[in-house]
Amino acid sequence: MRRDAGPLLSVEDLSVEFRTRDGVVKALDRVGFEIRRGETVGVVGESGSGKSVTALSLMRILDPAARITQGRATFGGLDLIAASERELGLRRGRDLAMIFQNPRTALNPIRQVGRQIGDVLLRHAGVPRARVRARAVQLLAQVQIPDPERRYWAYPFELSGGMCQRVMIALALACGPALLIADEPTTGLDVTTQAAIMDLIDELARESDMATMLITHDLGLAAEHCERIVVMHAGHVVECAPTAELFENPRHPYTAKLIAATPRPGASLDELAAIPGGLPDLRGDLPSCRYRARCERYAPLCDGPLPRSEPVPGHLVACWKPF
Amino acid sequence: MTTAALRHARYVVTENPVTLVAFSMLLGLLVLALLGPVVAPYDPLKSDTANTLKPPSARHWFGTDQLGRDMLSRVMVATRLDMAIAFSAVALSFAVGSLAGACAGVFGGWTERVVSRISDTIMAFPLFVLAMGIVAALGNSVFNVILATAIINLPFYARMARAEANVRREAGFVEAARLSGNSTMRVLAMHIYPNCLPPMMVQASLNLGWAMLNAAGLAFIGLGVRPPTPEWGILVAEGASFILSGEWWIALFPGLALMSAVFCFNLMGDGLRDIMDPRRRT
Amino acid sequence: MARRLGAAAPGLVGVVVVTFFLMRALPGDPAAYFAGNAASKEAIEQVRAKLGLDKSLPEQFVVYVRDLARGDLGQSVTTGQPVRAEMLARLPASLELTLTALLLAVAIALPAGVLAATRPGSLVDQAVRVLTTAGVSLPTFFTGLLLVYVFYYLLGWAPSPTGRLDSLFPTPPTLTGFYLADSLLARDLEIFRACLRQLALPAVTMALFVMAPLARMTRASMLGVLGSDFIRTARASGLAGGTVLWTYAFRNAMLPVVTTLGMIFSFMLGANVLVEKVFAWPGIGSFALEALLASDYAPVQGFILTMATLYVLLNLGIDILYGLIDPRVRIEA
Repeated sequence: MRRDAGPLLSVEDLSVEFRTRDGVVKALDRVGFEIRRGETVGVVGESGSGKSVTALSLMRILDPAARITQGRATFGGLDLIAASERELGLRRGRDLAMIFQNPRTALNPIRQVGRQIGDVLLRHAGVPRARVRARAVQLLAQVQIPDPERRYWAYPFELSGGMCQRVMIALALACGPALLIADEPTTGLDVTTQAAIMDLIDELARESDMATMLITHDLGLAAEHCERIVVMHAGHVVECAPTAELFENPRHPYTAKLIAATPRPGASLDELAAIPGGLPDLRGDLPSCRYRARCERYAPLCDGPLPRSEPVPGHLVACWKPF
Repeated sequence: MTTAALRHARYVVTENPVTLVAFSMLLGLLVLALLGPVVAPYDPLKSDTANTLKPPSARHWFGTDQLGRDMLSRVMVATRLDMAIAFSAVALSFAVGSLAGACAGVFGGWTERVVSRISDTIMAFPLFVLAMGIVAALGNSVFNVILATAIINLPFYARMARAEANVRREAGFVEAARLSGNSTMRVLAMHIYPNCLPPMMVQASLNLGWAMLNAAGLAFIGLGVRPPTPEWGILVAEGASFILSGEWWIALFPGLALMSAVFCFNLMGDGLRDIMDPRRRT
Repeated sequence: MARRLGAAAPGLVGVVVVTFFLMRALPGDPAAYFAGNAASKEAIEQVRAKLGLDKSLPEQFVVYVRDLARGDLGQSVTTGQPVRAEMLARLPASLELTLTALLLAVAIALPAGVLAATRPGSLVDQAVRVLTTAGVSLPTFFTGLLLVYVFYYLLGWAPSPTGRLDSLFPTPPTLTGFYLADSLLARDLEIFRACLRQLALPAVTMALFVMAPLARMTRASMLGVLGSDFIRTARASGLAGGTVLWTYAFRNAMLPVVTTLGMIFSFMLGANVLVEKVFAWPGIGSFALEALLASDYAPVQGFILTMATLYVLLNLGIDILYGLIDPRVRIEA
């Protein structure tokens, strides 16, 4: 696996706000991480920790009520945050693709799946019109959909959840992107299908040297498929490390709690510990460390601005009192 | 209603100035309906042959018609009849429709089939045409206009009530209540029916505007209310022939009054919907 | 398709039955009316026998259905002509009016709704919301009169509201019965323009009436669709703005709008009567109205049957259209 000098995607200081009727919600606060070419990075955290918002910000398909207040996201020489809609439109779907959870609702219900793939091919891949259908069928075969010739004409409601997710993967991979963002791709699917989908993504990523950003709340899933893991809490990146290192030596108290709460073979239900408290209210004034209220290790020194330390090369922590 | 609901209601009414305006207009209309004949400056039926077809002036704010009758008084007094027709029609429709629908939803079987058939048959007609036919068939009177308007609105209430009752029947309300010793009728009357009502209230207020337009339309073509009784539809019809010769005030003011009343009901309906179900706000 | 036709059948049956009972419930004695004021009792009875009104109700019903199957809608008392002939002669006028109004309404309401939905909170959006709320409150007959006053009396732009064509002009040779189409087919632009001028105000009046619910529904539907998951996927796939808006969003948004058309048609067929009265438009609505006020009931019956049948057929058409757009209805999964 090639590791070029310089990361494929470099996110720095990304901050996003939402204007709501009850005030301004500071969904993301100076989020930063890197993804290298061909790497699979997991972004984990509880629901509401800002994982999806990060992904949507990179693609710039946020809700109209959202505002990116600061930050840079360098991807292949282009700053995704500052780029114009036109420049970004060229990249989206072609160099940078995304798949979502609930695959059936994520596809156009009244358009055949093959034609939806065809739309992307026509838009980006410069495939001549006459060859679009053949190429789309090829892609369906690549994601292991049986009888792709016939399935080209199928509508989403005629396919199972797993097959719809395969279609979405085909849609995303149609133009051979360098980065695939997978937002909870297996949530809502049964366990066997989950495994199959994740294996498919791994295999396709390997074949084309594609980087993957796997967003999930399931730490176990991330452990199995990711080389590095980014842990998020309440809009902050709290820890970032290679997988094995993260599990052996978690440095942030939250990470440790997450690992303790993750079901693993051999552990009984009693051994799983729930994380006390809940996510803080993201409106109004927030402390510099948003884990403060739930942390046992809190000390007055934690009120200072959030540090970014690297106790071991490749292992980043945002904490005043790491393990 | 609980205090929380009342507070929310007050919030919705006051937050949006438009809803507030609509609410005030409704109050104004109700006052006019009740006190119309008392506050009208002239006798709406009294003709004054010396003062025919006079444009609006200080003495006659809305002008006079072809018989010298004061238009302002006629429009004000007509409020009562129009409001009465609209409210009675909707009330009748609501009462019968919701009951039929609730029974259909709870009992199913033949009850449901009969109610559905009747509903569908009514809806197979263009509704105004059916109203015309009913009034033509039963006779040219105010009561028949109310009846016709009520009949054509029945399906909406029947359907809503049936859907709501169905949901509750599926949810096990009936089984649970019967297990605790209540008869189905009792369950229907005490639990299911009252719970069906709130969403239908919204429908009812939106319906009021339409019922009024319907009645006025029927009056405009000569069905139901007969001259010299003042009713907005008839007043517009009387004024129609004078539009071509430029006497605009005879048709304009009753028409505006009609429009404002209907507009007010529609706004109220929207406001009520926001109170009941904020998710469905447009 | 056959299944759909079958589903429409009970509606038609209901219409036929209800109309029968309605017309038999009419006050007054048609036989006495027919026979005339000075008729003796025997004369009235003779007329009654001739009209078949002395038979029992079930027998009358059979006669009624048999006549309908033959296309016989009875005879108008006032004109002495068969109702069917009169209806057929006047139907094109009503259809031309209604279709033009519908096209006009769709051409304005749909783009307005889409525009308002794609620019939420903007001036356009606010304007559309206010206008549609006001629009659903407009009494058709009143707007018609207002338009006549402003555009005919005050501005003199519109011709006097006296029907389909100014008496100066000869009617175009009848091919379709639609004056606009016929005059174009006869290549007579002058008559075409004259017809258009007469059609303008009545069509606008009716169009205004239905524009409001159409625009409202389009806007609400578009807003809902634009916020849905598959639009997010489409944007994430980098599809062009136009593709996302029209191929993906609009087609999906049209589904509830097509369903609304059913209600719209119900309104339009009813409003026909009102508009025809205001503009002296010689369609079936004004025909029925004159008959109604003259206690001439066969035309009224024919009118109700025609309108209701038309409505059932239109609803059938809407179902088919919906099925064309939404495969979920078509395909038995």
